[in-house]
Amino acid sequence: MSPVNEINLRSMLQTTVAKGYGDLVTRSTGAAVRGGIELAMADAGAIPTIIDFTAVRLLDLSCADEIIAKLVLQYGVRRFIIRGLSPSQREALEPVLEHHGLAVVIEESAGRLELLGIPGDTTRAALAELREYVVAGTGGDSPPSPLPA
Amino acid sequence: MTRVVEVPVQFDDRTFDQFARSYSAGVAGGAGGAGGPVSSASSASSASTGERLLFDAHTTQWASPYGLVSLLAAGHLLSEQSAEKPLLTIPGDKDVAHYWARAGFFQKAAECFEIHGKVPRVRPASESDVLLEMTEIKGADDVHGVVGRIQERAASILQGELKLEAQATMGFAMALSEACQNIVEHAGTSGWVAVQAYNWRRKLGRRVVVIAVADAGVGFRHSLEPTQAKRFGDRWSDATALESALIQGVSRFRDPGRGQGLAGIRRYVKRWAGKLSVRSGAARIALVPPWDDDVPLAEGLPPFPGSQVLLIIPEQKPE
Repeated sequence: MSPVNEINLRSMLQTTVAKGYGDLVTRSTGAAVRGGIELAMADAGAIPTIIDFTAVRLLDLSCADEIIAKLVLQYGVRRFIIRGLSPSQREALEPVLEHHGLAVVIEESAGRLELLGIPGDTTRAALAELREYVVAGTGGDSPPSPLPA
Repeated sequence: MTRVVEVPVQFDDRTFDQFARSYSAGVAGGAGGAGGPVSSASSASSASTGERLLFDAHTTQWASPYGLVSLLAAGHLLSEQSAEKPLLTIPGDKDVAHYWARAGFFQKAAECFEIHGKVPRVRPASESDVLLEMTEIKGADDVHGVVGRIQERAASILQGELKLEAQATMGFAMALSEACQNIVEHAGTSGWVAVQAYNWRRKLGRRVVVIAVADAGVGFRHSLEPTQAKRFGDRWSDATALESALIQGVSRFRDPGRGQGLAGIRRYVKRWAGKLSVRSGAARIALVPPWDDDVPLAEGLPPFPGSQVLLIIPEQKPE
């Protein structure tokens, strides 16, 4: 398995903001969580980071902008894979990405990597790279498999 | 000397201008009325002359969450500007006073008004149509609090009674979060939020759920002035400030990611055939659904400090 840096967003929220919180709302919350992710990324080097929304309840637009849009703008799309987005979280994230003309790589439920947002040449290339990275981790010619839970 | 601010008999967004006119006259020492902005400074003028304002709700028969949060915002502003709190007479009608109590109004009002009249004792509102009692928003922690509570309380009403999809509950909480953040990010002071479901027979003959948010802060015009006023020149006003924020997604911050919150609320309200109205200073802008006859933009209204936001989501008709 290719190495990845996996971040449970709910744990990150509770570590960086307050224990007991389960919702990603407000700009200040988003900024604090982004700071935590950046620290974890610095420790992990250049490997892709999985941002896991599975245990998060609500995501609002302000927080989506502060966390995902700003991370992608800062570090580039090929550094991140978004996992576990609920339909309502997807509804919050998608217009934020469109607002910035961005796309991100998301892991669909079957483990397949896809783009969310406004795809361009760079993001399509990033998707291909990340798919290849995941396949390489599984040992070669097999189809993309889910990243480690 | 005491000046009286009349609370309308039916106190909601429709009669708010009547309230604002009376408030404006009161803080201006009787010389008010429609015209210039009601700023913190003009509100202070009556306080500095030793006059007190009496908010007279004795004859009030009904008040929507919009009316109540606006009343709290006004009381909060005045109490901050004077050693003496403004006065408030509670509704004479017992049922009305009971509803105000169930909505958590008197508990909060006691902090910013000298209340006259017997405040009813009521049970907590956890199992009623009051989905979120009057709640003060000072910072991000308060937004986390209201979002958490609304997810626990609103799901059954939104899905069971208003026939919204399960996913819409999260969208509702998102809209609530963004509306509250408008206070945290822009008002420069605290504000109030309340959420309630009720039967809206007069207008719709259907159930609705309402989010009302009010603050007595700087308002949209003042907030956007440093970055936007030049662009509009002589046309700069409360109305153009509201248009900039709601229609064009303009924010006072230069960060290109800002200004998306109101756009998100607009999308949610439109999707569920709801109404969004934002009043600030002497103007009001609205996203008007087919079932309502409000105007999209009103100018030259009686000025009122801060901003007042109203979201109404109606029960969905079967396909």
